[in-house]
Amino acid sequence: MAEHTLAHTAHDDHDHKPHGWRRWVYATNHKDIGTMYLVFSGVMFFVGGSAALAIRAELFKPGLQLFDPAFFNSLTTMHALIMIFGAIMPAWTGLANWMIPMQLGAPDMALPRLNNFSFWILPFAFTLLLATFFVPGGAPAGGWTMYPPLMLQSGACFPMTIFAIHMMGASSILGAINVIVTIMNLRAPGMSLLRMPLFVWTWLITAYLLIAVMPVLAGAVTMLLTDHFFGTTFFTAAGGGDPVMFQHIFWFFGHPEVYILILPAFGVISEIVPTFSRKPLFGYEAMVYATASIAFLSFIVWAHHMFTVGMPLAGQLFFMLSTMLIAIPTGVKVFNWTATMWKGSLSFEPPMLFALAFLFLFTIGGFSGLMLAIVPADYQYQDTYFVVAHFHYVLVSGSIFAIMAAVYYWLPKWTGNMYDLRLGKWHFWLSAIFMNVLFFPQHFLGLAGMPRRIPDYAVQFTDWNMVSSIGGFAFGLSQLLFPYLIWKCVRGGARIGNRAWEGAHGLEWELPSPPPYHTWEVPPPEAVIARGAEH
Amino acid sequence: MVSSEDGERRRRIRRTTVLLAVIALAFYIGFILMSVMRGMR
Repeated sequence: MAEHTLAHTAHDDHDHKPHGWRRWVYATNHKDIGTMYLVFSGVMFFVGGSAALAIRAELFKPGLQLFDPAFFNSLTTMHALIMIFGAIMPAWTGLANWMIPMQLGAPDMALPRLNNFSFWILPFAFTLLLATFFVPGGAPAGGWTMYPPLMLQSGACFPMTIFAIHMMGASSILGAINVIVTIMNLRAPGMSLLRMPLFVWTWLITAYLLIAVMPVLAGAVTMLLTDHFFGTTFFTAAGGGDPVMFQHIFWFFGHPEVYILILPAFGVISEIVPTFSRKPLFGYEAMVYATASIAFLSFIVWAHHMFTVGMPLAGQLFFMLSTMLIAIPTGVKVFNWTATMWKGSLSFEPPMLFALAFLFLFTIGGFSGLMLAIVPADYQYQDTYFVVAHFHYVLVSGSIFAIMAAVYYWLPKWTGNMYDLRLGKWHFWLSAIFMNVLFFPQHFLGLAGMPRRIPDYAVQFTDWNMVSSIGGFAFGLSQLLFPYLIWKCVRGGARIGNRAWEGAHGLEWELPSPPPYHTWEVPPPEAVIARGAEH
Repeated sequence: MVSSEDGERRRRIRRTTVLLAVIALAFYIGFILMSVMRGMR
């Protein structure tokens, strides 16, 4: 009876859902917009992945095989831009759109039309960016960091790239504003800040990071634009400017950007580990404060990306030590996830498998990050494949595995159907094994001195490059299972009740599966919020 | 008919949105101004 009453108050049964193309083009419903973000991100994941496979094909053996060096540089640049701004960030925004209102007991995002605008900027931005492959001079080849003077020597792609980046930045800023306004103003009565699920908390902090640093990137590329077209010399040494200043400004954005990509992952893992351990999260408040500490520290470590430009010893020491400080709140998190599992009743469905892989492999990425923070060691590792291995352990087994874990966790809620668990486990094992075959050898290559961003290399690097390329192709192919599994699940499967997973807590699991088009038009009762907030 | 509670909530949403937009704009302009000032030194 109680369940029935709740289901009734949880939603309006009269969906009034628009149909056809209008539903998507004029979308203001958070679930529709969330779905569009996730589909867009999936498409970009495969586009960026294709560029990665082309890179690994070229690097399969020494010598130039398939591409000329300029095109190879375009591939590495575009792979990074597409994966960061097109795949990972929109995936998190999609998950935020789907889950934040449902987890807070809010009827929708606070600014639905702005939400529509934020999304629809992205297809235009990426069409523009991808179109640079077809203009004279080709796509940008100066690396995703766009350092001058190299970037200023680009051809026709230059203004297109700058405009595309401005559009992506605007989309992210508007999305972040929407998230903060929703969390601060639309929480159900009784949903205090320290009752919010950790996915919401980590997104709130991420949104503040976005608002602080995306405009900085926009400022940096605006100055590049005026240097190129309007005769300013912000970053041109010949006119009294300073190219190193660009690096400082870029990394003031770039390092918090890394946390923009990973903090929501911490939130997802903090939802999944307690569910499949059938225990409350260990140290909920410590997790919130650790996330906030990581976000704060992310603003004062940027120059560790540029130790070799020649900075004063005091600067090197400051940035080395501040970087190492990040290990403390991150250690708190890893400890708390492990403590949550301690003496728990564990089960290993696909979301938990991906979460466990995240825990092990992200920690490896964290440790190699600590190695890179040591100034004298960094002098050896700078611009080698060791750095490539490091950030792929953070972003692939960190962000992307967490996104996959989140999709596997909430997909039954979104569709009302349980997916093929066996196929999900196949996807996990193939991804986890070949991710390591792909990236672990790159540590050895980097330590042996192989530089990054080159299409050719000395013969002594051949064996590990071959292993890495085989891992890359196997990892890439195994990802095809993911859209197939989702498509199969959307079409049908074993029906589930409100709660897809036995140990799941939170307001989203109080709603029917799939949730109706409009949810929480009447806020959930206090007792339901209290039940969901059993941290 | 908008209740007074709804009206207050709308005002709060508008205020928060404008404040966050101003902060974003300040970071954008601030960093460009900082670069200009540094160039003039």
